[in-house]
Amino acid sequence: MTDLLSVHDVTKIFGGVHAVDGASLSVQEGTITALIGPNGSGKTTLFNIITGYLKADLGRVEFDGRDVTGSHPGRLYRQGLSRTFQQARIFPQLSVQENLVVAGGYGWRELFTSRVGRKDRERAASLLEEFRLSDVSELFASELSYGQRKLLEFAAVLMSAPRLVLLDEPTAGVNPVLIETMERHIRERNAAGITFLIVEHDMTFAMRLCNPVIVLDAGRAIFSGEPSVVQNNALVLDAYLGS
Amino acid sequence: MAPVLVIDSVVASYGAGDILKGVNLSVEAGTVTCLIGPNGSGKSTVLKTVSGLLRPKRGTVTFQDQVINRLSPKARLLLGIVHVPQDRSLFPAMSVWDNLLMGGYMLRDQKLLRHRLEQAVEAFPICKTRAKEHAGSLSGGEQKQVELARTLVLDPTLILLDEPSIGLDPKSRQVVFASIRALCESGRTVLLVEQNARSGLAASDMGAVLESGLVRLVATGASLLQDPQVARLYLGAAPSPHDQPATTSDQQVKP
Repeated sequence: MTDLLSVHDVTKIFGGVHAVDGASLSVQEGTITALIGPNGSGKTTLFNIITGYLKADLGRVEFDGRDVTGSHPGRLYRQGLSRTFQQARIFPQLSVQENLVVAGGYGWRELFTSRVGRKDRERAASLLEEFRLSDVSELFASELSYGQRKLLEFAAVLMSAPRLVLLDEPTAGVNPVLIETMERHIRERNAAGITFLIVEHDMTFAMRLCNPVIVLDAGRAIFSGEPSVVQNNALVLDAYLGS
Repeated sequence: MAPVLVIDSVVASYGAGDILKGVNLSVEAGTVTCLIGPNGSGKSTVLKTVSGLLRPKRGTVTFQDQVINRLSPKARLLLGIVHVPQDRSLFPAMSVWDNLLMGGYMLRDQKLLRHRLEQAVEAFPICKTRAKEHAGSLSGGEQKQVELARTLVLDPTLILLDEPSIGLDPKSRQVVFASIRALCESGRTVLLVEQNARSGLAASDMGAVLESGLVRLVATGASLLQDPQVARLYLGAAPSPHDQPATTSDQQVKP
């Protein structure tokens, strides 16, 4: 398998603190890869650098064989790199349903002229139903609870057709029953060819779904391997999993 | 034991449509009670009606035999009700110590303030060991500990915690749930909301299931954990040690 994403010796310093400290890792095409590590180990900073929201002080990011270091997030999105955030970023003044329509790649004109295809309408309706958002589909997204926003953002990712999706703590604040629904969708999309890189603290979810698992500690990748090996690695137990 | 908090037939909304549709819940003194339920069922809203961030349209909230519906959030703070919201609530550009001091903003008695600060530091030593650092530079788990410490400066009777484990790594989560138990053992009452329902219930004496703005079930945390129907509807699959993923080669990543 080829590397769809590779990060080479990336460093990011905030006021003397090395948030990311020479991190190198790669994500192979077709995998569901987990990125785990203690709070403050640099996972989200690394996500922000990969997706163009932050500029690295040192190092290089390659996506699909091209150097994309410092690329604009919008440009990366058009190249097939999509992401979600820890604090879900949705369009607060659009309805829940409209958020999905926008994510499907439609512009404002289609939004106002109802020229959204039947297939996409059905897909949106089915996602809203599955994530129990049908009853609130007409509300402004700003009216949703934290967990509902996370679900909407996740559903929006499922509306688009990226090559690589970065999910930042997708299950945080989500009801455990719906986490299983999320898992099923990730598997389905993965089977359809989409690669995932997932930051997650829910170890049951991450270890069941992801392979390989990359462990970040103090801004560096310290281990990468299959879940069963990661779970028994003394270094990882000490740095992250605890007793 | 007498209930310290009684929520009786509370109806509340943020505008159109009621979020809470007649919530009944009573919380006994010195216990940890965990509210679980689907996303959007109104769990955070329950906490807001207790701390005063949202006034109920109907029903009563009684704290230590006093109806507090019409009291401001500040008045409820002075009665001993503190609320730690879901989002990180420390001031990131201020030092850890200054954040702790903000917890005592309403205290005029300096001697009492010093005493309370000592107690908070004793319970959460991080407030001293990292005192001069910017709160924003602490990890999520560390910040949550400082938030809990900050609540102690007011010597609260009732602590409302909205998803205290959100975004925390497994080690920090263990620390936070142990801290919640310790708060309870020091005589305080805790009402918490948790989507991490298995861990939340395991750390709690009582659990309540909220669905569509109503409390559907109240039982001990242990019995809810063992109830197969509750598991199916709200807890999801039990963590299984037998989940064996596919194999690939393992490799040390170059440091």
